[in-house]
Amino acid sequence: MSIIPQDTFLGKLEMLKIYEYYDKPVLFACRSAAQMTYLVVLVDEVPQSSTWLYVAVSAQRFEAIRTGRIDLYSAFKEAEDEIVYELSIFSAFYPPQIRVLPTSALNDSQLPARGEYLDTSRADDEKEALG
Amino acid sequence: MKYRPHLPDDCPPKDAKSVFSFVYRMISGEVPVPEDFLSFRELKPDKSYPSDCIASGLSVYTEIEGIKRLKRRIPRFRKMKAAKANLNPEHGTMKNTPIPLIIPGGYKQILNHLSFLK
Repeated sequence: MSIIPQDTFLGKLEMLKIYEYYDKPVLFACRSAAQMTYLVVLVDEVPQSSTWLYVAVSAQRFEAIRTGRIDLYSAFKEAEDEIVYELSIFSAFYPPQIRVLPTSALNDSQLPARGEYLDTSRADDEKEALG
Repeated sequence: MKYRPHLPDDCPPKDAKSVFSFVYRMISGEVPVPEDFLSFRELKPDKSYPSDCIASGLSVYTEIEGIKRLKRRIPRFRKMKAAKANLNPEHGTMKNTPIPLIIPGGYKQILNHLSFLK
């Protein structure tokens, strides 16, 4: 089983870019076969499961995030669709659970700190999916 | 050199180096426990990753700023503490996998490493 869940309504996902890596990708972008881009961050983790936030971003907004014009907090909290997906990932034997959350329900403990930016225009800040 | 048994045959990578270095690593509680030093591959053997070798390494930072940045960016790490360890060649090897960090006036590289422990 891949670190990115497959066979969900989010689509057939492939890793696009990794922005933070700690034992595994913990902040990254992935893209569905239908070309929907998601920014993903690790929210919580216990031995039995991990919880991730996925936010769908348009190509224009993704460019603004990756070049440091929108901070990571706003990328989730001010999502264009005003929703994010909370994915709970278990072992290979259980399918992931997905909850649709309105952005108004997100609290700061679930989000990157305010004022934290990617800025890939000034540095090679992006890693291709580690091969 | 004998490494931990979960490392695949082609691991550590040829460019991993023996080092003497202080490193920082996130820990789950108040003090380090052995479980804090298990790789993704050891913890989640049912998951696949493009490189089993990379998934067999442990992420560490040689600068505290790397830990601070993780806490700012990744909610999972916000409340976790970091332990400081003094690694030497007896413990294994490390491969430098730098991550650029934007700072006022420019950027510098945070020395993020993958360590492969014996």
